[in-house]
Amino acid sequence: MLLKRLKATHFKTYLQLDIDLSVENDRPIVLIGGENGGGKTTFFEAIYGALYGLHIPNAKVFRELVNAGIPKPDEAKIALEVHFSGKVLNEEQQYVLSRTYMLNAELKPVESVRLNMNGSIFQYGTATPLAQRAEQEAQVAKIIKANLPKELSRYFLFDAMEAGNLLKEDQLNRVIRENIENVMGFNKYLQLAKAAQNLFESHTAQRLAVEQEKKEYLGLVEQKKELDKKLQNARSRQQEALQYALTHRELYENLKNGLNQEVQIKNRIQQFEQQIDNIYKKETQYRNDVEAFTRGLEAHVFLPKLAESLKTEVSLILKAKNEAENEQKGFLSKEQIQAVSVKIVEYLVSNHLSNKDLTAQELAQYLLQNNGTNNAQDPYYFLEVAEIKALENLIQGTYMNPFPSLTQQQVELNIAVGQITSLKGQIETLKAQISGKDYNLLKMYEDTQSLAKHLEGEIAEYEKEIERISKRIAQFDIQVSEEPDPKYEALKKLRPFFEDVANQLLKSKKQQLELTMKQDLNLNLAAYRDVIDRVELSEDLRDLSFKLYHKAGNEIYLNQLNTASKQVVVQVLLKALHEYGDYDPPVMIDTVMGVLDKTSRSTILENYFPQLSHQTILLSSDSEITKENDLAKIESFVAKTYTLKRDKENQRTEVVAGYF
Amino acid sequence: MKKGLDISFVHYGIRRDDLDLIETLCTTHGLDADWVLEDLLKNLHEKRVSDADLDGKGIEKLIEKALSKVR
Repeated sequence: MLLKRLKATHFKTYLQLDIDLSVENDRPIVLIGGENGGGKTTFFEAIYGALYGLHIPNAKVFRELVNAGIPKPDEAKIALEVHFSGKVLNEEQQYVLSRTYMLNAELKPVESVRLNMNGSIFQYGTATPLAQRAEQEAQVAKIIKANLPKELSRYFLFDAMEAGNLLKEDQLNRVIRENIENVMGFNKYLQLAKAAQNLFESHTAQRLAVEQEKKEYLGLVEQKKELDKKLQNARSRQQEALQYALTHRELYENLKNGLNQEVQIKNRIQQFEQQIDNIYKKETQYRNDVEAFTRGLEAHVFLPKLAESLKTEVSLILKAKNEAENEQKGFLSKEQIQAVSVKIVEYLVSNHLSNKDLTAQELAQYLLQNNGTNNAQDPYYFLEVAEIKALENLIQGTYMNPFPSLTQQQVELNIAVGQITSLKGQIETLKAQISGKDYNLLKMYEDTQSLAKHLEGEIAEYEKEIERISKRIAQFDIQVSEEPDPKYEALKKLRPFFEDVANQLLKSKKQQLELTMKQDLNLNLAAYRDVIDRVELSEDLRDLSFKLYHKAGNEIYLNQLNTASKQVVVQVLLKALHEYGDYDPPVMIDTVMGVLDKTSRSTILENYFPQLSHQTILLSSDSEITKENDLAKIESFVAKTYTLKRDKENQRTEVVAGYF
Repeated sequence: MKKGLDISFVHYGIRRDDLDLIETLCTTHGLDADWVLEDLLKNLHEKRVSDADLDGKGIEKLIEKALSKVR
């Protein structure tokens, strides 16, 4: 099958597209460039839609698909037309397949399909009578299926990024098995074998003569069927879970990163809030300190100053007082003499020892005059004890003036307060970064992951149990009650026959696949260039495995390959399947370099794309296949180059000749 | 276009080389090759290209129908 031409009208970003895709034998590549958002994927969808039809369930979807520049979308017609050729019985057939979609008077989407095969027309649409439609539709479907069945299109018309994503899931062996089973057409033999086995078991049960045995046998068959149902159910649930994981992986990782970031953001917000709070606390403290300082201004400022100024004089006073006190030691003071005189006079009078009226005053006067009292003059006699103490405190006190510290605090506080607005701004910015996303998805994803794991165990148990029951069924002592029946005999042979067909076909193609893949991997798998000793496919399709071995003898584990290498493995497999499979389709790759690193890209460009298919359509951005370096590597194999130019204002994509 | 649609692929959905192997295996397994090809594989192919994918029950019915032609 060769794609010749694609036309699209009013389809998404394409108002009118008419592009020649024909290639020559020695120039099989059509290179189409486009910036991100330029219309590459829409181009891809146009080809896919033209071949298999668009799914337009309602007017809303229709309007979404109509070119945004159309003045009246409800009156627009979306038309896709693909021209292709294919060899049928050695004759070259030309096909033109057109699909038109519009809204009817009730605003319901209607479809019209027309296939022109070398002048024979098959046509049907929403309004075609049912019987006629079924017949025409079947013819069109038959022709498309003969060239490229829809279920295989995902292998040959694919987004390399999707392949890259798929392989991140460590499902490489499953992908390889599915590729081989589907593309090589082995699936149908396995399905036939399974259906034949089911039929054989129910026929056998009907033929058992002894009722008890029949009952037992049927019981086993029923058990097996039941387990088989559970197995299928578990497999499909596991498939769904794996698919869910695949589809949501990126979202999950983003959310998880987002959640981590949010936690970090919240922590930072908390730190900033704490910082602001501390500034306010310091400010309050500062105000209190200033107030206290003002209140105690004399103690903090004047007293130290006073002490400093009067220190000498006060010291002299204290010294004089001290000396006066020292001198007075051993002498009674006037007051003490007077007090003692009172006591003495009282004593003399009460004991009648005096014959003269003696007064305490006279006695004191006498003592003061005649006794050796300290007559030294205390120049500061007028100072009270408390005053002396105050003078001592004045000059001995340790003064700490808080003013310099308050000034420093004020400088720091001014800076800190100035930062509050900025800190609040940062908090607002950080708060805006908190997405408010629904993180329940994370739990759902993780639950699905663990479900997939759990189902894996369940599947293994079911398989084991089915194998056990199958063995018992096979060993059953079947004593048939009737004469040999050719139908039953034929049925009995069908399961082993179809399994044999599938395995023998695999065996006959295995060597070719292994050899081609080995050669291509040695060329294209940059990390293992020229060191792959063998590619090994197992011989039993029911338990198909795929292994790579290094020349040193060790196995190269597929799951341990980096993502780019995994993509190369799958692409190399695709090329081998394209070569040895039943169909002969073109290969169209969107995002051609997917996850490939620089070395892999260079190798793939030189060795892979030119050999991939008789027609390879590459949709690439200028950073994937660069005009400066990469284009030269494939230029001699390129039949046509185009660039998709996006007119942003008018929301349209135009196609121009040449690559960027 | 190296392959194209040959007669066997148009009729049976199977390439000529594969068909030869299937015919040989029919003999090995004691099955009538004409019956296998015409009543099973050709019918299956026709169903597959004109209908949606057959499920297990659909294939069982197809085999039952083919068995009715065994003599």
